[in-house]
Amino acid sequence: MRRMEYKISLAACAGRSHLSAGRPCQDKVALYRNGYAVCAALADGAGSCASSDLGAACVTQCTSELLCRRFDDLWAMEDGVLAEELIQTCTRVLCQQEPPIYELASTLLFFAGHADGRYLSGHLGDGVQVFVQNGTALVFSPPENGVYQNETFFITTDDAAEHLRLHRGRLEDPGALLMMSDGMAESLYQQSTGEPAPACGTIARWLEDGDEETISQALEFNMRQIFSKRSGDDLGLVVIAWDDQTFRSRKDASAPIHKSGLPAK
Amino acid sequence: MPKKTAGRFPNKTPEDYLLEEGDLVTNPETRTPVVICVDCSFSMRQQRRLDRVLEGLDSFCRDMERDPIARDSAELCIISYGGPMARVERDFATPDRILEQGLPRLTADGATPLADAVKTALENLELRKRRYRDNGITWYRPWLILIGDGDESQSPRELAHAAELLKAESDAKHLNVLCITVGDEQRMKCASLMTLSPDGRIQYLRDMKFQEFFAWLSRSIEKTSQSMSGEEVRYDPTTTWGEVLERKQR
Repeated sequence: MRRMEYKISLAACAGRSHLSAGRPCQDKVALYRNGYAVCAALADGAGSCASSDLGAACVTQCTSELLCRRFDDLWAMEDGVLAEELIQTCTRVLCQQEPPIYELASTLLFFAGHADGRYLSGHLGDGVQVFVQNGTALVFSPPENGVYQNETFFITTDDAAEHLRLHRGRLEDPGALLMMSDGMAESLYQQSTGEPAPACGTIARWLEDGDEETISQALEFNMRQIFSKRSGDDLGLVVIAWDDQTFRSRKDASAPIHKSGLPAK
Repeated sequence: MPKKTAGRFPNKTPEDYLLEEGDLVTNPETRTPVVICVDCSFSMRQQRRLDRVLEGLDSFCRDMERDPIARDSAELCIISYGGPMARVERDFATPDRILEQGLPRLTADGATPLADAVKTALENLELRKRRYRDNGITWYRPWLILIGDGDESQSPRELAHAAELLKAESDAKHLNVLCITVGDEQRMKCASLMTLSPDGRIQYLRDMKFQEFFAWLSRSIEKTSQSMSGEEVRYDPTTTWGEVLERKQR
């Protein structure tokens, strides 16, 4: 039986607007991995909520751990039930935090992959998911905004489960998925045509050869050098590449890892 | 060309992975449409009111041009209303493009077709939004700014209809409406602008502070164009240039 291997790099950094205002980065990324499944999540905290950075961190960690630990259980659920389960689990965690839940609003994007090739992905609100295969990049899940760009859907809104767009399937060939917040999407997603920028393919290729940690640092380096000059918004990006042959530079994934953001330098 | 591999380039550092600008998307900014309706009736000759509006507009465009985000986000449309009807003097364009074209040469003459200005502005705004939708471009809540010194001279019924449209758009949070009255405080005619203002409040531009008003407007648009998802934009107070006048309750 084939065994699907996953390589994941991720980074988030505060945008110019938040740096100048002395506010924390509200884009958060998290990764959870055990012996048979892996899940990466990204959330963009609502700009209008004082504690949305905390909310985004809770939601990404909760989602990534939940999907890894209960992959088979969740896989067996119908989409509507699964959406409710994910939102309710996140909401319970948010309710345990000190700030009121309405101060913890964030979007959510996630991808969970099983060693046997099954995957589950979800997307609530803005940001974009881009699928890359054989050098071709396609939008997998576009942003869902309200009437205006600065209005979107959050995990704390009443109808969040209805707006959580789920995808599932079985991965056959090598490929990659990029998940980005709206700040990153300003550089990597052409709104006028609904197409990804050529750079999406370039970033996906980096993981073919580079190790996860180096590429995570490269993502952060590009955020500071390139992307922050094009957007004042916070920047968050997750890149997941899969192959049914062991990646050359992949580190041992047998031990559970729970990681948020970049590894300490 | 041989494929680059980790083996051939074993010591790649994060700094070796640098994207090229050409691989990123062009003009990623969410647009902020701004319609400015300028009264060009005869009375705007007094105290060089019209000239000072144009001077303020020129500063506004230059301020916008200097802001790295707002210059690609703000799209300005200038409508004049004087004489028999309103006229689109400059269709939606970024501030640098407006400066390239040159600001319109406006002359103050004739009556005050204020309702027609609102109708023209809303029609043109709708066309712009349709274009955004067709091209997948997102936009922030548009601004409609009415600057004048007189009352509607043609049709009170049309004025009432225009007020209804503005109120509906504003209540639905589809439009920011700002009514500015200029001129002599003792002989001010601002009943029509009060009627049009969705909340019954207008700004009286004290001492013809057009420069201060347009500087405030450019800061407000910069804040809008830098706002994040879900963020409610807080604008600076208007007290540096204006005085709020309220419609009397009947």
